[in-house]
Amino acid sequence: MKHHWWHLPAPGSAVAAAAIVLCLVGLACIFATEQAAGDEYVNTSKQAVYLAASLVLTAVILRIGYYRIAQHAYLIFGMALLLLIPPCIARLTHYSFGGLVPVRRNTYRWIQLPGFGLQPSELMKVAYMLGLAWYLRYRRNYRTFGGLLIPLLMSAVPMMLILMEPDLGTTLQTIPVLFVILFAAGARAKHLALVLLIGLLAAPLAWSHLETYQRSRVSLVLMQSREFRDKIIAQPQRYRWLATPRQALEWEKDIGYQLVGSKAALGSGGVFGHGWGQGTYVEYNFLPEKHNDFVFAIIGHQWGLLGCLFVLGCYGVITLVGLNIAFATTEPFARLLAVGVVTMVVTQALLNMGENTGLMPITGMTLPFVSFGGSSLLTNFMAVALLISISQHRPFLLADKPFDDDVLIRPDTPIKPARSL
Amino acid sequence: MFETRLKILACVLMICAAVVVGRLIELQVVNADVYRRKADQVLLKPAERLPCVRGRILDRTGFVLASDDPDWKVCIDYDVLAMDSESQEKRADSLHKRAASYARQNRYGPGKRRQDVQSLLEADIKRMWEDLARLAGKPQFELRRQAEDICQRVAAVRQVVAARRGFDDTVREEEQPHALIEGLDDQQHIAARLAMEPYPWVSVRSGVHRTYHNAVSLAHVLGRVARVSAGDIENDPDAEQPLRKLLADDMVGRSGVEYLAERDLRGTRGVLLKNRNDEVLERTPAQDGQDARLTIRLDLQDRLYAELERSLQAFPSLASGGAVVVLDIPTRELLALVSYPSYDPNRFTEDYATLRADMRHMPLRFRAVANSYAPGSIVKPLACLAALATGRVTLETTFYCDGVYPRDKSKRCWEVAGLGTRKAHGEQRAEDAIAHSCNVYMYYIGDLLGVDGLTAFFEMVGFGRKGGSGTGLLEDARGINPTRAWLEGRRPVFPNDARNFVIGGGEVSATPVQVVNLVAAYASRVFQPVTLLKRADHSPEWRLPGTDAQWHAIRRGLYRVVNDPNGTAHDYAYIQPSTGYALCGKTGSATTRPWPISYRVNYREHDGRQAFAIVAAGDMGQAMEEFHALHPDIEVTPRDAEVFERWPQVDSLHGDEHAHAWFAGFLQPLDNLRQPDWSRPPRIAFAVLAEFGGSGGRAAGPIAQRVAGAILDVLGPNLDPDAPSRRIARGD
Repeated sequence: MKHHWWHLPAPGSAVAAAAIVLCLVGLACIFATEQAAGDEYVNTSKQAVYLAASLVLTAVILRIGYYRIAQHAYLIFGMALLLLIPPCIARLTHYSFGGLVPVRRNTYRWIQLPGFGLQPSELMKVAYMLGLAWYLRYRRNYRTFGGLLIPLLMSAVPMMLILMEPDLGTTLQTIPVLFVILFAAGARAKHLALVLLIGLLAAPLAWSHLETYQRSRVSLVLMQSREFRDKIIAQPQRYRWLATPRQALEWEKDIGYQLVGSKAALGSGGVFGHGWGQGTYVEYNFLPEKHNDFVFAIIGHQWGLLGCLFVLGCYGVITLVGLNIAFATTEPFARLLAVGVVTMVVTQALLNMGENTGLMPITGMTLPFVSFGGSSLLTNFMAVALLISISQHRPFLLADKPFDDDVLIRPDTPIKPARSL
Repeated sequence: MFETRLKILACVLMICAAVVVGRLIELQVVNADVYRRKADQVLLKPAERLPCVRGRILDRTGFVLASDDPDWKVCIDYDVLAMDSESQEKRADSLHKRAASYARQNRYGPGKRRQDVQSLLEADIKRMWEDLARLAGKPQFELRRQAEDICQRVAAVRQVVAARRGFDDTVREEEQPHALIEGLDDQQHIAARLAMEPYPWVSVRSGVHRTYHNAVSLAHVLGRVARVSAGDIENDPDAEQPLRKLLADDMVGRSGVEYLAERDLRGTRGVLLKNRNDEVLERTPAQDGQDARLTIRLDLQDRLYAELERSLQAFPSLASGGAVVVLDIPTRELLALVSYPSYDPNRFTEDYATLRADMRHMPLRFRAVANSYAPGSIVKPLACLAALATGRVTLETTFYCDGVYPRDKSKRCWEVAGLGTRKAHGEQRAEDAIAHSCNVYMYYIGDLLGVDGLTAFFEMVGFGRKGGSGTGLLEDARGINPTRAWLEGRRPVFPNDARNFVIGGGEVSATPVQVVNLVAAYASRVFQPVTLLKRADHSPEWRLPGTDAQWHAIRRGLYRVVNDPNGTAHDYAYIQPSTGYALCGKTGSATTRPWPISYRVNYREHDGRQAFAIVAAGDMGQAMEEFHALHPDIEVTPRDAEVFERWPQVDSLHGDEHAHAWFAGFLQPLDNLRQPDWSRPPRIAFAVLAEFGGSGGRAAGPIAQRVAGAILDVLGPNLDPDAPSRRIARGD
């Protein structure tokens, strides 16, 4: 059966529509903040260009087809790893490769191409999923504990490199993707539990290695409660590992500034919001990163609870349709990839919303498709393109169970389909 | 299994989403009001403080002596003011912020980019300084230096606040405008408004300045206000009250009553809370400071100042200044506190350099309170009382005066010492000795009393006591009571000391206020600190030892000083009995060496050349200070300096030595037979001091006569301190 790349099946078009709607919501927010600040619409036009580029990229990926890309999964993974190396070298040696790796906010996250700053860690997300899914398509690779070492290693190397930049948010985001893919692939629960246990035991060690500002990002989740701040002030020694009394005293001005702002922006939006381009936090500059990490707060400010639920609904569409695509396909690789894409997009969205509402530590996570940022947008569209591509290759005629020959078409498909395990 | 696991995954994600939705409902529905308020708060402008008027200072009769008068001032936002003195980075940051806000408001026309706005803004700020200089009539650099001073003050405030809080952060002063040009009248105000209209960071606001009314005679008493210093803020007793505490722009009492009554005079600010749309959310009105009421009568003060001035200028003396103090004996309220010469408090800043440099007259010295002089013979009655009360002598004990003290031939009676002719007082009782101011009698009782016996009584009348007289003024000097303990750290105690102290010489010293209070004690046998401010409560009083008969003898002696033809002040201070009063009192001549008025400081120039400088200074410390101000980079020690010039430069007109002339006395009511009516206690005591006036009788006596006349004239025949004032202009 021949599928043209422009022919989107229903699930694919739903995902694409949700992604594009989210993008438009983001554009509206960026436009509103820039309009209020009296700036030229630099970011709005940039984001529009990124969106166009993303759509083109999506078309290209659909044209190629996920399977042809998947065959080069390791190569892609390797290249993404290579791209991660220059920022690390720059961080260690403070050598900028002739301006190729600029320092922004004391981090080395970008590779500066003409007219476009590329974040290799964003590309890594997709490459990592591809590599992982490609590896885990064989049963023997995930049912044994030894087999799990490879995926752990595949995660650990890029995680270390990204942590060097430093980019704690992206690093931590790898973990749910890894676990969900392992889980979906069918890894034994006790193996996963063991890995999780090791991770938990390592947490205090990691905590002591965090930078002060990174720690304060985590501690502010607890510190948003006034009672807790009073406790810190009353017993500074006891809570020394978490925060200093001065941080507690200066909560609203210091480490809590963003969170207090985002909560006030969200809360004051109420159910219906202030309207597009209206409201204190849109008109004045009280909320930093409002087109970026805190775009969700601005959505809530402008459109209230309804706006937030709408955005949440869009991610819900991506999730449900994405999981449905994973259900429908019989290929282990495609399944794992689909699950991975959904996990990546949705966990990031949930984490970002958690940050905005004070449920999660603020780690600088962006809201996929909505936040400003070229690399992130391209990556997310790439991931979604892969998802759509998977849905395109779905055998429409089969409602429940795939034909075996559909599986056998591909030469290196595993003998036993994953679902019959 | 795959499906199961996907379902589990879907469930987990859904639970997460549900948590987020729950949180959103909590934020946006349940607690929406809380956050709405918070969002409104973000929009609040920093609370504006409404200025309060400093309390007035009134005289006893209600005449206004000092008040805050309204004027206008040109204020500039701190960030613009600080652009000169701050780092390049901070300056760029301030500019950037302002430009962004102006671009948003389309102040420089719609559609302007921030970068363009920023360069326009910079040009505007430059132009503002030019306009300000034109408005103030001062060169730009002077204004900019003023701005720097303000920034330094704010930095000091920030330091103090940081020390108190335990961490450094911006202070409110950094978010507020500060006055750069002050004291504009209504017309200048309009000109300023017009000139400053294009600059949104400049505001013309109403302000106040301290004005003193008819107060040359009271300049020292009233004192002055000055801009707060970091020390003031650190020691501010109201630091805990945000609306009362001192801020960097405040004026605070520095000296005189302005300092003394600071807590009363200072008002409580109001608060004005507005949001960014200039809607008033909260307004607490300011409470003006309370008035401080002096016990001094302006009419008496003015009159006595004029009398003192006329006397000191007419009298052929070397007097460099003087003081007159009038005291209401029953209440110990000061009715006049004159120091001559004085200055115009409204022109203090302009005249300061001249006033300070005048070392001969020292117009800035608050002589009545801050300078202590040897009291001379005025302490003789106290010495007699000490001898009588402790039983060393009786009222009938006599000592024979043949002009020379037989135990020490160098100690002579004053008339012998003064004129060289041998004229003896003969047999002297205590009363006679007071009337004749007989030194020989005093030497005898001085030997009987010893240093300890004398200083115990000096202590009783407040000599050398901290707070001195009780005025509470910052300037209040303690005087010196040379007790054995005091002497021990300084020099050995000699047998001659008691003989010196008993005639008010040696180290003994007292301020004019202490002296007038001593005389009030003679008149009432009670010691009580004086008061300068009208208060409900009175200081505690101490009844001095001695029997009625002994006190009576003292008073009779004081009566005879003036009213007996042989009394030392009879020729100079006698007033007619027809007034209904007799002047009783005691003269005093406190011998002294000329005072240094300038110093010569020898120093080496940077090129090694030997050089010297003459600086006007009253003592070595001041000389060092003045020299340092002149040549800040050259190190000198007191060894390099010597007295260059002293005052008086000529020999004394009367006698061998220079002396400060004293007269201190009280007005004793007379009966119908024009004899003193001892049953009626005297009401008014006063003291006169003429610095370098010479002999007490000759120099201070005539002034005392005039002072007594003026007191009778102003207070009326009943000597009522609250007699209605004849002044027409009244404050309330």
